[in-house]
Amino acid sequence: MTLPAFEYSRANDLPDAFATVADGAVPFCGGTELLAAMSLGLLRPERLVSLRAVSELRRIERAGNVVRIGASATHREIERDAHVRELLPLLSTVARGVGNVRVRATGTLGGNLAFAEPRSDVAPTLLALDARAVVSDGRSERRLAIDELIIGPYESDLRDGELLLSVEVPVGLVDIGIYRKATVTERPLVGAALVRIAATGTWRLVIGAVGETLHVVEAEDLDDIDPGVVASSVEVLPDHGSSEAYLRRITNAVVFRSIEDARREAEGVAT
Amino acid sequence: MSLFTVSAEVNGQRIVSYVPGRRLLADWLRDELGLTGTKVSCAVQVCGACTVLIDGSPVSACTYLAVDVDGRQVTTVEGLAGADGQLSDVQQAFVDNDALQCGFCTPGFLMATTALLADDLDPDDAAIDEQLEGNLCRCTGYAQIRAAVREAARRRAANLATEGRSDG
Repeated sequence: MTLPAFEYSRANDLPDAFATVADGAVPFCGGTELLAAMSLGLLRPERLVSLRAVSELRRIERAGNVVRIGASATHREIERDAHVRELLPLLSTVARGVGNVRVRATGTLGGNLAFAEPRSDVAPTLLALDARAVVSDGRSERRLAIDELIIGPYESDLRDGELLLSVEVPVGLVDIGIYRKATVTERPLVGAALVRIAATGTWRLVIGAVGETLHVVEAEDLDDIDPGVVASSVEVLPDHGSSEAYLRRITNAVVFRSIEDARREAEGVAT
Repeated sequence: MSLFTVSAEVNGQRIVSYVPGRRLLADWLRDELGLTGTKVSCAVQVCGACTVLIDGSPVSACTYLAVDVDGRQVTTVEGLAGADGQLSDVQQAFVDNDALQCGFCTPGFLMATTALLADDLDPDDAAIDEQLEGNLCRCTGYAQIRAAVREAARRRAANLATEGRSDG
């Protein structure tokens, strides 16, 4: 397997990364998304810049009321990070189930989001947790909600010269967090993040993977979420492996089981 | 096309090589270093056949640039056996449990299992499945593979306990 030719460079620090990206290079880190797409002939970037050596992008830290996760933290680093485990257990659990063990060891949170992978586990989770993506061109920063960053399949709102620096996830926003998914291969067919907002006791359900964009349902009570209604109202993107009818049925089941999980947690009954 | 220096430790041996940026790790290992134990099947990091360890972490060599192993340690299936040719405990457990049929996926399973046991000497079936679910055996010999992993873990734990006693 030979990749199409490209110019390769390495950024040593953040200013270096901004300069190279401003010059038109496509940033990458783990390469789990990008190199696979290039192998399949779907992408042919002329220049790549590896961000692997940029240590500023790898940090995971508590910063006031948020946990700030550097864009090039790997899924496994996020899963095992002490702050994430303690303060964002849902995100730790979801990171543990991303792709396969090799993807988790090399694939990064920022890569998954910036690539706008439509079958993402972390995107619906982070939207449910009200996370903000911090993007910058080296001069000014923007903070975007996850559904502002990801505007369609493989399409993000990152502008020329901008890098995704980190994701800030508020601490203590939810007191119950569930993620369920149906998978055949390593990407979900449908994923559902269901959280209870601690301050109000209301529920938020975010459905990912099954459609082109994330689908959000806000509800006062769990009983107000009808899996059948959700399944018939989500946008569905049939692919060569799964019909629309199948995907709606699977969505129904995943939502139903998420609600069951959430109800068990809410009642304090051990699962 | 510009070439990049890769200076890496491969199976304990220092290798210095000059590669184009687009050279994939799997091709570098197989075609330039002659380490053909690393197999390539799906080429899009789904099947696990090309799993190697970089600084101890399992990685798909089919979707990893050779240039990116500069300064790092790479272990392939050729690096598991001892210098005297003695199989590693993981390899021996696979042999003893008939955990291979056609054998094409085996190097990948061995590497993923080696990484698992470095972290966890008492993996239950759920932990084994979580580690190996991304490795596909198209002969579907999963039951024997699980048994081999459990046995390798048991033997290693027993050996460590014995060494601990002799040290004490």
